[in-house]
Amino acid sequence: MKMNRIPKGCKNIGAGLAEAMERCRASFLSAFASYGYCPFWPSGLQLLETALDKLSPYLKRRIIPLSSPHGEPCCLRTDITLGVVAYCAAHHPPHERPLRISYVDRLFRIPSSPSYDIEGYQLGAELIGWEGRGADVEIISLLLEFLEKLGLRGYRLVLGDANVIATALEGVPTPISEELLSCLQDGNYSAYYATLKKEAIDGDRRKLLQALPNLKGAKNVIDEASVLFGSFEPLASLKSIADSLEELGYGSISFFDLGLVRELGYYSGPVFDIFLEGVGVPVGGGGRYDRLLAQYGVLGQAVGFALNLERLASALSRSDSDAVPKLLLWCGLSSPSDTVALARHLVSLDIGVEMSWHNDASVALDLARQRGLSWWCDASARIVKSTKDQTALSLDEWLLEVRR
Amino acid sequence: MMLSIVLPTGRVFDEAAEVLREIGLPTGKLDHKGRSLVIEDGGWRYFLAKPMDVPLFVHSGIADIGLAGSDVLWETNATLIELADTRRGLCRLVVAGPQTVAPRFMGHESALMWLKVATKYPRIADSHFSSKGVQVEVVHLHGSVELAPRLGLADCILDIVQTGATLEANHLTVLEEVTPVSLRMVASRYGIQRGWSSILPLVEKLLDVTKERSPQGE
Repeated sequence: MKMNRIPKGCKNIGAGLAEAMERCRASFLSAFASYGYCPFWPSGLQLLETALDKLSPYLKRRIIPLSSPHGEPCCLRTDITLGVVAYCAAHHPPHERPLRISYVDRLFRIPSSPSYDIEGYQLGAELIGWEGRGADVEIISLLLEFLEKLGLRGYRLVLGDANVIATALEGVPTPISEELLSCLQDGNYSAYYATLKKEAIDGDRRKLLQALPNLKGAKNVIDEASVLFGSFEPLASLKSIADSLEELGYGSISFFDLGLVRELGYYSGPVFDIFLEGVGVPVGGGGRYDRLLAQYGVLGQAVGFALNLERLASALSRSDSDAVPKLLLWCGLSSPSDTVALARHLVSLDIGVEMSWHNDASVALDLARQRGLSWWCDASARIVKSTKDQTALSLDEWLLEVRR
Repeated sequence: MMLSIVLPTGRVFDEAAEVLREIGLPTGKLDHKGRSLVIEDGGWRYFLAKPMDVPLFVHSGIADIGLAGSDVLWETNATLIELADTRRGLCRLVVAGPQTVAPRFMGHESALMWLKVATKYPRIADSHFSSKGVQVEVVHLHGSVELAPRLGLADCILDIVQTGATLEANHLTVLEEVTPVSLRMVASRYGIQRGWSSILPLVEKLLDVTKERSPQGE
């Protein structure tokens, strides 16, 4: 068989993973639409001048440039938030804010080792122009509600705050504070401590900076940090978010990392990462990015997040493969119209159905096994069989069973 | 909660096991590992992997912690948290070559343009020479790098050196020091969030023992 090759770093996604990705996409857009988030479809190309002017230093290094057929220097879409903010700033006057936007789309970036992927899929949401303390809690809690509805298990939210680190570094000469920040961003704690050791930093501040990356864990690390800071003031946002998440029942999945730095110079307040069980790197995250908003002449807060759709869907297909009962419906001696009518009825009961028009029941049963479907149904006899052990039930009994 | 640690096999395995012993982890079964690549001992799970694969095991979340050379970390560029320098497995990453190439390293950097460099570390070679503004031809080999200049495959090599005996045996001399190398303790971003209360004491103990071992007490 001849195969058409595709460029290295690109993918055709089908079968179970595509199905899981579509399930995440549909569930995400619908969950956020219920709370007033409008879908947004960004342009596939971005002007290079805009990307170079507005993207974070990390993303600037990952731009894939090209020229449009009109001769404009462009890049493939590197980041969706940029498109969202630019659109909102240009199309919505101040009295229309706050704006709530959700998106699911493809991104293109120069791969970062050890990955080879140049294209990826992202889902995300942005709450733009809201100057109230609930905005962070709104977006984080909606994200957690969505993950919960997906049926994922073992995920965790890790929160930090760019302002906490900035306060800890107050008074430290700029080159040293930049070096320390960069060490934290790169996850190089040994370089962080080596820098701290060789620089002249006063006693209390040194003690605070020494402790900062170690303050990881449950909500009590905020109290521990307040002792080192001498007050709760720099921790106020984080504490307020922590209290709200606890009240909403998310206390057990919320963790805090006061050394958490996401994309230097881009985030300006609370930041967070989402981890899935057993995956070394975050599936995504977000935070407050008021500075980008200001660059577009919009005053106020912006908070948002983005998740890697493919990674999320992989975890979903691992943890929840039988979430929707599915069966292969064999027409048997039943007429096509009766079979289709029965299929419609089953779909209306939230059961996934694939029809088989083959004359031979055993071929249809093999097909069900090949598809990884747990159930096979003879439409004319209204009998359901398990594809694993051949146990049979009447369709009515089976419906009672799966719907229970 | 059982944490997992990935250890490099080969040259640095003994030193990695020694680090674990020093910080109080059970290592009895590592002494008699046989051909086993997964070893459970006293509530810890150890994976044994090729040194170059250790960062990927940690990055992907298969292991919470790993011990890897700083050369390997630089080369693989995986997203990891570097927790501490063990100050073990000490060696140097150098550019070495025959004496005939030495003059090119003594004058202006433009003399290095299009040098042919054989190495197991193509990313480091590229990054090192790029930082000097020099473009070189990198010849990626997987072993016996020292052969390359002798057989005319490359002008010089970029490789790690411990005693210098292998270089000497192949008529090569150090032309340039790139960076010192040592064994580092690393963790995944997920690992530090999942098991920080277990990981932090290990890091603190490691910093204590490295301080004691250091002649300056640093």
